[in-house]
Amino acid sequence: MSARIEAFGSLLRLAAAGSRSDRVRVGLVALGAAVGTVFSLAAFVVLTIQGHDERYTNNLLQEPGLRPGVAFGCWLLLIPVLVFIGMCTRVCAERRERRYATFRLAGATPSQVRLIAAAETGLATLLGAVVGLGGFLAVRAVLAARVGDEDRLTLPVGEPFPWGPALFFCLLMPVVAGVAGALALRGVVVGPLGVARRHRRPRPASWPALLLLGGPIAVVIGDRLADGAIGGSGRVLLVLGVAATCVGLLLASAWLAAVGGRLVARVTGRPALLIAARRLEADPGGQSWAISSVVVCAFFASATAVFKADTLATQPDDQFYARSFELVNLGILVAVIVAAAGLLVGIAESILERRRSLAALVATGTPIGTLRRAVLLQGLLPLVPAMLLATALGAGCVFALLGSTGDDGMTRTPLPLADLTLVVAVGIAASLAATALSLPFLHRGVRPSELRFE
Amino acid sequence: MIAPAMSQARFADPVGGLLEGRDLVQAFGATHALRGVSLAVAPGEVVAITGPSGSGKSTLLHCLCGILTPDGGEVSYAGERIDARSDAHRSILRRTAFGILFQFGQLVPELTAVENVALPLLLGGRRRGAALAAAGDALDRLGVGELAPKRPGEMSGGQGQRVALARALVTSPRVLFADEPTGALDSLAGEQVLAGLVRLSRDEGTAVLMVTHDAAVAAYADREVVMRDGELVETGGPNGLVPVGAALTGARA
Repeated sequence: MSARIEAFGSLLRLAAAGSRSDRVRVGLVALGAAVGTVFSLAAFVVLTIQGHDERYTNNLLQEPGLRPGVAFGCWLLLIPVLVFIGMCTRVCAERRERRYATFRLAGATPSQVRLIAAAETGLATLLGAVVGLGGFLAVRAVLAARVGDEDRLTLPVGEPFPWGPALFFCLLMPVVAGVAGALALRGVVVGPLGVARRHRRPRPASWPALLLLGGPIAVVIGDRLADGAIGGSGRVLLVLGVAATCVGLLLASAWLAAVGGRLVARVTGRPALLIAARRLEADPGGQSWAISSVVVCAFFASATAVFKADTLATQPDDQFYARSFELVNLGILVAVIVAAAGLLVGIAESILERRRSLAALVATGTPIGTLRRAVLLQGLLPLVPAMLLATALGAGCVFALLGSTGDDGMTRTPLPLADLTLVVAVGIAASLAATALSLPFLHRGVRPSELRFE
Repeated sequence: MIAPAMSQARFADPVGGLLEGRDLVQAFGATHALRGVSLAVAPGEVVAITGPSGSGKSTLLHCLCGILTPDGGEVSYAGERIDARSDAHRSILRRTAFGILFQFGQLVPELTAVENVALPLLLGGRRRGAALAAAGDALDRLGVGELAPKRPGEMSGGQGQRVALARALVTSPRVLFADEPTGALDSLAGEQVLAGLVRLSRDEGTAVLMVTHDAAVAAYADREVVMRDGELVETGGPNGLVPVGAALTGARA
């Protein structure tokens, strides 16, 4: 028994010890976990408020009927956070797998290697959860100290802290992340002399694209049925249609990127476009999750823009609605920033993974400007059409929903063209900023030192 | 089959070579990779740079082909000094007048073989159809035409290296630089690549400058120069090596 404990201790030490790239990965995963913990704790705290509470300045916190929506919004922010963590676990994955191979060479069994992988991700997530919890409590204490007994509250700092759900979440997250880390090694055989993949990278599935077709159709049919005798079924179909469209946007981007890349690569004679298109075709899943989360944000932002246009058209002076839409937009902006951070990590990792062939390209005379453009196009090619599609679908779904309420909203709601343009512009600008921030990795990656083989 | 040990070997440094490095100095922090190295290469000459690991072989190659700007000394190509020119100018030179071959990892993994070979032509402004046709011809000349639609991950090391050689040659370079060109290959694949290099030199008059630590590879060269601790210490041909100073004395005599 003691030998097993000793062995487990050694595995934990091996998981904690790593190179600089391993520490960077652990740090990024921990950062993502900390941010996710803060969002989740905020949701728990909002749910601790009891009944109608006049102390709060914000109606979203005052009204018991609205607070579950606020908490749900906070949990929705976990989607881009999880995508960010997923992108971070890929950082220097090749080097990590080589490290695992050296463990095998030293005598570790395959299950011990999987345990090390699980422990590494789990420990990083636990670290992030603890930092997130500590930070949340510290900020909450500082804010609470500034509030007097008679003061009105902007944030829920006076409620008792929900220790039970908070600790449960902080412990659950590392377990889930650890299992995900171990599962990520499913298709990989870590042998003593290196790492081999059991199968080639699978082609992205095409069925999510059907959801992009079927989802809006379901919304339109649901809209028609909602006005009739089976209005309940129509409304269910409407909600299912919106959900299917969201899932389609999230999952179909890899397939769209692969198909688009293949088509562009067949016709283009421009080197930057050719490299970008072939890269998208070869590894469409690389950045597609990060791009998907930006795109889903655009879907919600455009839907919010149409709701806002409809509401303010009927109640232009209602401060409650105006303030609520501001808060929703703020939440979406936070989600976009997290999604763009995930995109940055994905692009940087994609550059570092290919640094030797990129350095060889520069050495053989390819201008670095061509490679910069290739990196830029690799992000923009799948993003721009997906953003336009998501914005159109988000706005279209809400127009259909407003039509189904029977208050002839279809005819009254103005098209918020400026807001929708802003949604597309902000999404593309955030992605461009992420790409621009990743370019220093390109400049570092193509240094002549990458060409040394000795 | 082209065999090593050329009968028409040149033993002395050619005067007024096609490519010339003079008193090259390069340091990386406290490490002096080159300490005043001079080397000239004539058209059609095959030169091997040999020496132990860390002796400065690859650094010398990188300085001569313009990847690195030396801290001191001069590099000239066809009588024109290139080390003082802009990075963009040197990039164009590497893409048009020079061909470069590395040990491995030089092909863009996502591009097909024919697209990899066509890349320098596309960068030079050639139309897609013409560039792909020329790339296909280059692959055929090296006997790997059937690899055109394959990606680097679907090729063996030797096949990948011949595709890389086709890319280096597709612009008809006047100087070919090869850094451990057979280091990752088995002996048969290595021989095929070396035979291709030597045939190129004989048929096209292309100068070949290759870095190797393998005496069997160096035997394919007309001339071998040996580096140690950032200096050229010996030079010679198939009949043997002599210290650099002695070779220069012999050449002058």
